[in-house]
Amino acid sequence: MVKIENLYYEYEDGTKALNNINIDSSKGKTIGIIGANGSGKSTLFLNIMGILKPKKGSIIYNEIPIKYNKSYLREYRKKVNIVFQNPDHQLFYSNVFDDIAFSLRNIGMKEDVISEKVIKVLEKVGALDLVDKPVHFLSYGQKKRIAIAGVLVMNSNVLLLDEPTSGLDPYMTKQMKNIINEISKDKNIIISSHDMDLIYDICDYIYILSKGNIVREGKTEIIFSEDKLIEEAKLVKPWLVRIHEKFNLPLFKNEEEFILYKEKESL
Amino acid sequence: MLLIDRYAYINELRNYSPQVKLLLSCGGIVLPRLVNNYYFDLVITIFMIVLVIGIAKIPFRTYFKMLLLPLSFLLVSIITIMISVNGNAYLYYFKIINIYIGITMDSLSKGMKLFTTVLSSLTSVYFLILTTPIIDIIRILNKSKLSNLFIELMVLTYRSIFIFIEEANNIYLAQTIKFGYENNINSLRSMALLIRNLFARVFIKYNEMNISLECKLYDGEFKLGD
Repeated sequence: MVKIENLYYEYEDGTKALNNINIDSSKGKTIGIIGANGSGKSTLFLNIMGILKPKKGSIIYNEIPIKYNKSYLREYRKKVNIVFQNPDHQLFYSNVFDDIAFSLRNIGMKEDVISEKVIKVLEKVGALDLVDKPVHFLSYGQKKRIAIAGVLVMNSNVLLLDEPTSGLDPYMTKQMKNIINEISKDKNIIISSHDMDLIYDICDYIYILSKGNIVREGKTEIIFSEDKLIEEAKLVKPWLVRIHEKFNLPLFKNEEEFILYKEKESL
Repeated sequence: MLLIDRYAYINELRNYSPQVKLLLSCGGIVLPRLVNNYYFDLVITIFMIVLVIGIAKIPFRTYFKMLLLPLSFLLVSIITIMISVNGNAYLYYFKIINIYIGITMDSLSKGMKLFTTVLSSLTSVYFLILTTPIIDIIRILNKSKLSNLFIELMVLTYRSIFIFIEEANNIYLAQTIKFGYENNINSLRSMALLIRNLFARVFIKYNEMNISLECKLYDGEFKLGD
């Protein structure tokens, strides 16, 4: 799907932001990009979207390097799209329906098709009751859902999620996880997050970004078993990995597996 | 959140046809200009006040406070209009050197008419904005084949107002808990900082908005549905 080859990016003042990045999103269904604050995740995402132009290297979509002209990028962004961290940046309209319909109207879709799609996507993120609400009436968590819905409605093949759970309460976080699990069934997802439990649960392949370099990549279970690496990247291990190591339990992929195991054990 | 906006969503007339509400309020603005009689204006004013307080159930105190702001402007301007210099047939006047300053019968009735006309317009506009969510108004404008540019501007302005207020509020709050408004000098300094920061943040927001517009396939025109 999306492939990044030998990408270098510098800010205007010459600070090196990204060095020799190689990422291949087809290595898993859900790709995790993790790293401390300021490690370059957001810059990387803006590069993938074609908003920032790399100094060297290229973004390759379906085997073809992307071109930086308006019409190409427009087509490209129908296939690859992004949900930003701060939902307020991506809500323009005063009510939820119009906001979600925005990109579809930009493509010139018919109004009846649009309304069908908007309702469907609101159902998917569990926000159908918000359809007529004005955007500034929504809570942060609700805004985040609407922001995701506004991008999902385009039905792109690859979806970038920048910190989808930051600032959400535990209940919302869990729901967000379900939403991501649901959409990852038919989409390639690249996700950046500081929530290691979330990353461990939903990603099958991980890249660790540190100071603008990919320091390591690999399958989720393997990445999180390396103590030194995790510490150096200023991260922590997910709790399931920690109980696996400390209490001599098998390595579970998610909480449900763990509970199931415990139930069997107590029988 | 703006108080006016909140009432627009929770008032008793919220679900009543927005077309009728818009027509009523337009009528309340246009008719007093055609009918040259200030009793007629007052009837309209009272009608609107009854609609807002009696039927839409907007609290009287809040409504009155909201009216106070434009009313104070109105009073000041009416007074300046009523006073004429070197006119004739003064009701009351005083003389400074060779100049007569005072109120004539003519200027008094002009001022009165203007006052009641503006009052009826004010209450009519308040009726509309307090009972009709802006989204409904935008929908009607959209159907009325008004220029898209105008509606776009309205949509974006409306949204930006809230972002702007929120930012200003956040900065103000942060300054307050750091004793930024303890005394006059601090207040002045903090206010200057607030304005400067707000200005900078508007540009940052603009930049971020541009990026997400690009990602949402924006092509130079804000499209509105039916």
